[in-house]
Amino acid sequence: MSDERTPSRRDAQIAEVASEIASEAVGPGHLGALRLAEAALHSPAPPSEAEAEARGRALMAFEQAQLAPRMLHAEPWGAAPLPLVERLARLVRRLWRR
Amino acid sequence: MLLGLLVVSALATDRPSDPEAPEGASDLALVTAAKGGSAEAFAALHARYYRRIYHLAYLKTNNASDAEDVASETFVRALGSLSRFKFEASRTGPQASLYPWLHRIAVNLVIDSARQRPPSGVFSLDAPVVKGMRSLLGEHLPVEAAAPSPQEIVERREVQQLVRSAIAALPADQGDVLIYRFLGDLSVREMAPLLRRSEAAVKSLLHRATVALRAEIEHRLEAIERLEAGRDQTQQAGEEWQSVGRTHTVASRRTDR
Repeated sequence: MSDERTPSRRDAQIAEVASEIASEAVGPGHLGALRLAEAALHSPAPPSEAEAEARGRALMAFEQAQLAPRMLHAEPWGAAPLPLVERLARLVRRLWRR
Repeated sequence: MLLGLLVVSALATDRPSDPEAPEGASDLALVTAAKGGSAEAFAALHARYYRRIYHLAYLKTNNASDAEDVASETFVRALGSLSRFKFEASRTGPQASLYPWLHRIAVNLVIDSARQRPPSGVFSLDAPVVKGMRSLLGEHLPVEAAAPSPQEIVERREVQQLVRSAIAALPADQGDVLIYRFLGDLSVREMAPLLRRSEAAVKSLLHRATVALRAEIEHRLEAIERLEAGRDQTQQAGEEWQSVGRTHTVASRRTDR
C-alpha cells in the first residue's frame, strides 16, 4: 500500500467518500467540501530530512529493542519461554507453599 | 570482477517484484514480521504511516516542528508497545490497518505535550480565491476568466490552513471520521467498530461532518469578506476625512488672509 498521493488516487478517494454518503443528499457543495478537506488534511508535506531522521531514529530504537530479550519473548540465556500451563502451575505451587 | 558486478546488477533489475516485499505486504504481515525482529518490516510500516501521522500532528499543533516531534515520537512509543499489540478480532485479516493505533498514540502525545493549537483566527485570502472557494462549495457563482482553477484553490496554503481550522472546529466525532477516512484511508466497515457505531451510523456521521465542514468554511469566508468590507469602509472614511481636512485647511487659509 503506497502512500503516494497521485491526482487519480486523490480523486478516487473523494469519489469513494461521496458514494459512501450518497444515501443522504450529496450536492456539488459537499463534493467541494470533501475536496478541500482531502487537500488540507494531506498538507503540508513533511520535510524529507525530518522524515529520514525520524526513520533513522525509529530504526535505531528498533535495533536497541532487539537486544532486549522482552522483544523476542525469550529468557536472557536464550532458553525458550515456558508454556502458559507450566507457568500457571509454577504460580499455583508457589502460592500453595505460602 | 566488474563484469560480475554488472551481471549481478542486471539480474537484480530483471528480478520480478516480490509480492512478499515489505512495500506490498499487509499491516498484519509487517507487524508480525517486526515482532519477529525484522527491521525491514518495521521500516516499511514507518514509511507507510509516517506522513499520515505527521499530517495528523500538524492538524492538531499547527506547527511543523511540533508535528515532526510528535510523528517521530509516535513510532518510538509504538515500538515500545509493539510486542503487546494485537489487531482487534473484528479487524484481522489482510485489510487490518495499524493506523488507528498510531492515531491514538499521536493524539495522546499531542495532549500530553500540551501542544494542541489548531489554526484559528481570521485568514487573509484574495477576493478571487474567496469567490473560487464559494464556487467550489456549490454556490454556483459565475466563473471569472481570471479566477483560479479549483485545483489552484485547493493547493493554496492559506486555503488549506483555513480548511484545517474548520476541521479542527468540528465536533470531535465528526473531525475524527474525516481524519480516519482521509488520513487513515479506513473504509466505513473498518471505522464502524472503531467508532462503536453501525456502518449506517458511520455513513450518517460522515455526511453530517461534510455538511458541518462546508458550513464552517463558509462561516470563515463570511468573516473574511466582512473584514475586507470593513477595511474598505475604513479606507474610504479615511480618504473622505483627508478630503475634509484639506477643504478645511484651504478654507482656514482663505479666512486668515
